[in-house]
Amino acid sequence: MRLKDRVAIVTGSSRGIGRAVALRFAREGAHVAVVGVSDRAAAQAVADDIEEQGLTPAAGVFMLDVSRRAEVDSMVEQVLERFGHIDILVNNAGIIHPSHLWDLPEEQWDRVVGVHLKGTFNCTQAVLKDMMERKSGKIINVVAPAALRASGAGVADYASAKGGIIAFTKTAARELAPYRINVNCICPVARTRMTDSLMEFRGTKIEEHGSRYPLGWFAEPEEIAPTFVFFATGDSDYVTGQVLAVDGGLTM
Amino acid sequence: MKLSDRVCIGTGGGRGIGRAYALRMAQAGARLVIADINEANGQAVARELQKEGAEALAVRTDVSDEQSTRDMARAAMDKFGRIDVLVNNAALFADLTLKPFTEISVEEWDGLMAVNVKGVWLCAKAVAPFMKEQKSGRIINISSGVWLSGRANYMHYVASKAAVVGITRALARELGRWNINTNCVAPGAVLTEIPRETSSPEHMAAIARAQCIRRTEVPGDLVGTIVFLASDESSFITGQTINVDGGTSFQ
Repeated sequence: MRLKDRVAIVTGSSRGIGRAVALRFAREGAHVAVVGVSDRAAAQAVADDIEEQGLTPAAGVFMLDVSRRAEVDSMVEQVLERFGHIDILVNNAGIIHPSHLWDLPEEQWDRVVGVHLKGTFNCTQAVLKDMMERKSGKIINVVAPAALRASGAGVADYASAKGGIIAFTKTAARELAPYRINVNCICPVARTRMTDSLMEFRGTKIEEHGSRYPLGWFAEPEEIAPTFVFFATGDSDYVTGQVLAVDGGLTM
Repeated sequence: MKLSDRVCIGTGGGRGIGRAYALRMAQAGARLVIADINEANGQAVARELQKEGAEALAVRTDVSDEQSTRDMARAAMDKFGRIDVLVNNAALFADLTLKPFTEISVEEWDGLMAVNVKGVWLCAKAVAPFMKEQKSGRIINISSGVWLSGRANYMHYVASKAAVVGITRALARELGRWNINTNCVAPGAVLTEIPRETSSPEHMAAIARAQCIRRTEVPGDLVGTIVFLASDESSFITGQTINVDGGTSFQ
């Protein structure tokens, strides 16, 4: 087990990639704080899965909006109260509402940027005090190919927020390195509700997408999760400020 | 273990970072082919691995010579029956001297490109038929942070390492459908046991100061990424270049 006794917060872990990361981390020995926003049953189901599979027990199930600082602080305080340290933060929470640029409501822009970009800032700042004091930490942000390439219609808000997270990652990597905190970004593609809604909006099918990738297939979240382990362990101690695409070669 | 029974060829595995890659891959369960032009160095690493209980074979290999690369792949197949991973690490590096590009001779340029660029292609060419047959494989190329940063008086080396990134992307697109992933690692300025004229202590210190992580890079800093890219854990990653440089390059 490569994450034995570590404590990890994984936002957006009630489904999709975040859920796969939570389960994988628990398999590697970490206590994971499962963080969802509205579907408590789904978040609780992740903690139940962890328990049923006999993995390292979850650090709790937390329902909150990452764009609201007070809710984030409360969750971090509860995790610290129980475990005394937070070793890994995965800023994975995200939303997508595919909309053409000419139709994109201002409120949606604020909401999407708020969850992704401000949520990443909120959670990062909330765990920093503990990580800086202990001079140890791994922060893993999640972006998307939309931030790196002109990937198509409907994601101006989402792509902008993800682009902001990349800039945040680089500047945080520089600022936090003296405290031995690594900050990196994973840029994944996998079959999730999010990709489903985007494909529906664009009228495309996942199989068609996968066949166009250099590797010729489309990953499930479980196939993305090991890269999070890489960035959470000492294997990547000398890697910081980087963006790694886990996307079948879509982005080069 | 992450690389249990995988057959890994490491070019330039007889010393420096190539040796570190081989040792760590063996620790992760791999069977190693040490392909080095210096036969004695290659044999020494193979013996070192065998002492640790790993299976290892040394094959004298000149990566700039097509027949030699074919012999390397054949020797791996004869000994182990498969080739899972190729680490294209062999390069002219430690023996280089800094000089203005106007003073680099055509012979020197050609000689460097023959190893650092043609060698990467030839080794991939030699192992690809076996990997295609298996419908699986990993090619890990070693570039350098200088392909992004540039460096004065070092043009031949800089150009060769930029070419390695291009080769990585081309191979990723061409080999993906056989389930062969091609990725690249770009180290920073790594301190090894091999002295080199291109890196004074002052130069190394200046580089470390400019990094996010302000200590000089050592071979052990690279090995975790190599094993990750050689393992099943990176099955959906191809065509990528990972800067393992303490936070120096950000592209």
